[in-house]
Amino acid sequence: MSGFRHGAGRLGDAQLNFTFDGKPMLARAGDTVASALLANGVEVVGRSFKYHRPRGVTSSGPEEAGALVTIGAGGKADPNARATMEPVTQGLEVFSQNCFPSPKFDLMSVNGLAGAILPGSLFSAGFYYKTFMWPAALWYKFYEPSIRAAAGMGVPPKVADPDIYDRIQMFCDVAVVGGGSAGLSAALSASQSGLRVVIFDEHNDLGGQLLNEANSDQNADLEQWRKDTIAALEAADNVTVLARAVCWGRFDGNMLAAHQSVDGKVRQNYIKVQAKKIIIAAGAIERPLVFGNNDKPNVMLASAARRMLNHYGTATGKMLAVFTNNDSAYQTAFDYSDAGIKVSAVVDSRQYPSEALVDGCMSRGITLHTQAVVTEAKGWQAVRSIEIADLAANGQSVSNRRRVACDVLAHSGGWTPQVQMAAHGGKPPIYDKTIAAFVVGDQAPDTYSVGAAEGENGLLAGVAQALEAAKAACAELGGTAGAVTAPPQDRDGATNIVPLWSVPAKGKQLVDIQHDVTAADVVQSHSEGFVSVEHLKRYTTLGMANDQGRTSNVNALAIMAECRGVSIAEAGTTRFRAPIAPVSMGGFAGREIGKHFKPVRRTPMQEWHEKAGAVFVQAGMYMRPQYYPQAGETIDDAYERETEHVRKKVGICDVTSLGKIEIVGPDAAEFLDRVYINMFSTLKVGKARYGVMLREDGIVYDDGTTSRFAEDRFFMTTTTAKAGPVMAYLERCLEIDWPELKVRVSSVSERWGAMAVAGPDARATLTAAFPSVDFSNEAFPFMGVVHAEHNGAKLVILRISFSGEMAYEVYATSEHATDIWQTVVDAGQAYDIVPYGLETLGALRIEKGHVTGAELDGRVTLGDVHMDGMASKKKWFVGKNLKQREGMVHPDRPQLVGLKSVDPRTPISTGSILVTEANATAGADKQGWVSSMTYSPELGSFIALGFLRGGKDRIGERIYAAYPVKGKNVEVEVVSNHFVDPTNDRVKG
Amino acid sequence: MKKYSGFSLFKHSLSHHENWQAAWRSPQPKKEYDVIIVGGGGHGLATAYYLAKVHGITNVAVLEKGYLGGGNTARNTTIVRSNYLWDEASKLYDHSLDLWKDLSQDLNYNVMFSQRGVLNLGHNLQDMRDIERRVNANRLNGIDGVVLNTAEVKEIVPIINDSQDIRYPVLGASWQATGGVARHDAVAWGFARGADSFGVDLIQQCEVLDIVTEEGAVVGVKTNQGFIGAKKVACVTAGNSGVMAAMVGLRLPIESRPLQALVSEPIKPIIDTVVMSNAVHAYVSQSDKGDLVIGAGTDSYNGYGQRGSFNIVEHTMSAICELFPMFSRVRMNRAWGGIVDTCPDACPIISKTSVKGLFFNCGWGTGGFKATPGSGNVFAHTLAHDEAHPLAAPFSIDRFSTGHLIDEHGAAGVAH
Repeated sequence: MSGFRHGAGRLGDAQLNFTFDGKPMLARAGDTVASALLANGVEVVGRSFKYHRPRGVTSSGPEEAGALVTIGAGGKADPNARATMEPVTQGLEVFSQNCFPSPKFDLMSVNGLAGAILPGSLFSAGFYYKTFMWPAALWYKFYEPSIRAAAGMGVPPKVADPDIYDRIQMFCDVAVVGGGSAGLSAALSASQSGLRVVIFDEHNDLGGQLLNEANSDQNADLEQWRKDTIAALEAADNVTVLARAVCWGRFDGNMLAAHQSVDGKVRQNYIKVQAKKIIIAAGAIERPLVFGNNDKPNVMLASAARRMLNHYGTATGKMLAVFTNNDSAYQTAFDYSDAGIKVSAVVDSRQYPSEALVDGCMSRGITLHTQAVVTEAKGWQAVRSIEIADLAANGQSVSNRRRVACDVLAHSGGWTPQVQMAAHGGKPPIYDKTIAAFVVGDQAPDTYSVGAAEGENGLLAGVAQALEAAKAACAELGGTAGAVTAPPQDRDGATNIVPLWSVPAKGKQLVDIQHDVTAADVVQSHSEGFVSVEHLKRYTTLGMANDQGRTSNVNALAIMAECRGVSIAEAGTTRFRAPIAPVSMGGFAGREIGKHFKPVRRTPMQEWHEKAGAVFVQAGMYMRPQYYPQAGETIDDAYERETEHVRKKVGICDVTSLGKIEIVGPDAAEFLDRVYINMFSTLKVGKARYGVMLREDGIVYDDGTTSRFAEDRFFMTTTTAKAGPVMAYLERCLEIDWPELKVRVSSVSERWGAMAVAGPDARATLTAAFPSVDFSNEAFPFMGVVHAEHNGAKLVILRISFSGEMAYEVYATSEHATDIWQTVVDAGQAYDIVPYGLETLGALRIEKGHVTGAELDGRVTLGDVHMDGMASKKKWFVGKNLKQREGMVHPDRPQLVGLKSVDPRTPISTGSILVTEANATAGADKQGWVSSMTYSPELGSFIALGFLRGGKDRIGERIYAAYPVKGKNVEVEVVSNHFVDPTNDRVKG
Repeated sequence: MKKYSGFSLFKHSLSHHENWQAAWRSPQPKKEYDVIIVGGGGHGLATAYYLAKVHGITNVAVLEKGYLGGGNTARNTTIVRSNYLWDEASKLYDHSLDLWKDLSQDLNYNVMFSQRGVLNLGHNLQDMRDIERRVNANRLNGIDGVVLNTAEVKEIVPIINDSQDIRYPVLGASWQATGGVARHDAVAWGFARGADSFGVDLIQQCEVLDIVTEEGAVVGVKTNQGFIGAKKVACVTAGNSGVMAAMVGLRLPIESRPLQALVSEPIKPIIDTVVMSNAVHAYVSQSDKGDLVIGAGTDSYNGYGQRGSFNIVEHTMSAICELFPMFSRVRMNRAWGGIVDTCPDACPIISKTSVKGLFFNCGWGTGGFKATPGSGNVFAHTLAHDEAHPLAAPFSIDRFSTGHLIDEHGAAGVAH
């Protein structure tokens, strides 16, 4: 117990109840979980990743590396939440992580004990690469399970997330990242130009470092400036203020991505902002110092201790000590002292702090130790005292160790500008010796990095930079940024830092508190040859935790640079990648989950099928009728009945899902001649032709029927699966390959509903349905095309057949398609018309030997499916050159064959492998495979299509369809793939 | 090379871990080597290791323009499996899988290879037919595999959404129990340390600027550290292979595209196997550290920027949340893009070229990690004997002119 409520800070009076590990606690509205836990005297919040050392609150922002908690329970459990970023709400449940049974007493802390006994830890950098190898069998039985048992931090929810996430697209002229003094000023100034401005800040309260300032009379004007500026922004119509929105990445085309937490029905908005100019005012983050036990609870960043007191009204301890290598931390000591909290020491590693600071300490009676360091934080779990010592002039050793009492140690190793967002723009940051940190330097296009994010920590100087940026950004966009009031007080930005990358004393000195990476690990990495910063990161896992190395990277690479004897600039940084803060996956998914994962496409006749009792099956984006069972029918009964009916009478099938593309222009015929293997320029108006497309490499791409409506107008159909890809391919050809062709292509898939009417009675049915159309052989021959109208519907009727029966495809304008379908069904009653589904469609086409996606799987050549003869020799077409390669026309290639069960009632499973031996086992000579199968009512046998090595010449041979997965072997006879009506008479009847 | 062991770890802990030997030397390049390997990724380092270990060729340099293992080896989802459709591919990947099994012991470096099994989900009837065909073929090649139904999948992955009332329900899966994952960085480091111990020079920050030939034969390479001679130069440069080939006027049938992957924050173990789905386009496993390792698809454009486009990640997240609705609140922690070099038939090139002494090992596309030991092993043989290893022979660059392609689009992890 060291933290307590002290003053009001900026919080309201409203009290909230929450629990921590089930224990009831009080908070105030505006508290974060971290400030509330501290106010309730909680010191140990959880345990660390590797050594299970006690962890407490270390910061007041997104860099939090200690206080990771699980928020909420059940489906709403949110593991690894940073306590510093989570507002307390009424009834909130907070749980500690990575400890059992409790954070104060954790059994796994033996991991750390071994390290306490041995001089160096057994779990040093890369330890797992060096051991757990003998005996090999124990890896699975013991070592890896033990590693996994200890893995992870929070426990993920076990049930589905009940919350909703939204995606938002926004556009703006000027985006401002960061709502501190610089960001607020830039946004307000830019907004006065009338341009559209968006400003993000990840905190609940805007103001950035201003919130660290004491909310005192002396600062009243400064606080008023903050409030007025925010109010002005919120009042402006052209400004969108996004609080609690972490802007986590900048992408090509000036796109910013952010996740915003919102209260209400939606948990988070995933916001993408397309900005013309980006002002990055993301501020800086304080760096920890590296000394013994610097990870102990109640060791926290000086600025955080200050914000806890001044903003949240939470004193982090009853006796504060400060350890610093720069000026900024003194203010924490002064604020605590002025608030009546004892400050036992300020330990400054520099020899000569400025006079003003020395005076400040003296006037408050604070003992100041200069040229001194904290060698170790002491205390069983949280800090109860510190060991300090004098630092040798060369900085390499310490002497005169002594104890100083305190229960909170605020430390500062300088400030790290938040350069990530700017670095996403492409340029690596550069090292600035004055502030001992990396700054952006070279700005990416359209980007202005200002204020503390660019190393300028002075209040007025940072604001001035921000206003300059706003002015320049607006000017480039043709606007004029307005003049805004500057903050009424200044804060000097000079930190006068003298770097102290690690304290030269033994002890567990943490560099990455979250991943338990020590300074010794960094040194060891160096001695083992992992000297590149990327190797260091990967070997030690440094900076890979969810604080993304915000507090650890600069210290670590400075220590590495020291080991290597190179400058920090030369050591460089690892590459900055989005996201700069962890973001929930649900936020990305937005509402595109469940049924909206990919919308189901419905044909106009969908409801009709539902009413008719169809069973549906996935077909690309569509759910298509698979079969229409009658009472008591199985799927087999149903499709056999439907198939027989189509062969004997007439059936109707919804084929709306086929891709439909209109191709128009004076060069349309030429275009088709290039993309199809066969000739389309010779196709007569009013006729349809089956066409096949190849890829450039000569593999069959897609097939379909294309009709000529006019000299310069064609109507192409594609397979269902390739509707989108073929359209994109045609557009690509026209845009990139042949821009000189005068052709337009447009997808008209949505324009037309389509139905196939097939069977010996198809003509009679359609004649009854559409009396105005002459369906006679003479007027409407096979492959003919007729345009018609019926009750306001436009119709295109093609006489083509996929089933091998006399058949027509009727295309009707979508809004009329169901009426037309009903008209055909009504007219067909006289001929017992039945609707048929995909199973029957499949059975019919297999009997006929027609190929679909199951055969045209992106691997077959024209020769494989006996279509080589279709390829025109009179013209060039896509794929012509490469299809002639020796391997593409090799006689040993698997070729399309028909297969018939020797025992007609034994099915030939799709996916079987064709072999010549009866009981094929491993090593068997695989000669082909089965691509599709059906029962053929007409043949009274199970039949299949497949590909067989040299199959064309093997008709009559008996082989086996092996299915080792189920131990099945079916003897089959190789036959022609044209099982039914091989002479193709029926379609012409 | 000093051996690693539990005892060495204990011993070094007594001396604050201050006396560990460097895992590899940092030598200056010599004037000439027998073989120069361009590219210090997993495949290049494995090639060097096997050249030295199996073929006794140790006067070898690996030239790496950045840091060892810093390319796609450092940026992948670490999946290892061998359930490919065609004989040529399945034999190559299975050879690799065999090497994986003893790799930690062989290298004296724990690469944390973990055979926790790989599921390839099917979401529609055609998926299941393709899965059945592939597993049947695997079985006849002696590769383990079974086809599971929804309930059996659920048994292996209890947290999977097995509802049949979702957009793409899980209808079943293929299951290769011998598949798994490995610690990707450790693979590069283990091979590097092993190769170095045989005397191979690993030279980092050494960028090859040109391949120098005389009378149609390689004589060395020009680098930012000067000319280095060698009669054999082997390019193992993944996404940059086209750039290397252009140095001698060759064109490779390769497209280089960004492929993205991401990891979550560490969470307590919740999924023990690798789950892959081509149809919804996502794959996931959980590392021994607790991170969910998630793979997305390739971008639809060519490029060398190690980042990918947004819609791909968004779609992957939707797919992951669809398959595992409880992952919705888990956070993505890090994301990255690698450049994958993909051949038209989704199979690699392991081959001599028309330039004497110049070899290429590239085109591994989206699935090269699993092949690392096998690729290095057969390529080393090819280099040592100036003739393709029997398993590498079908992957000659000639196949694109002869048309004897090995089309693995269906079995490759990501549809292209």
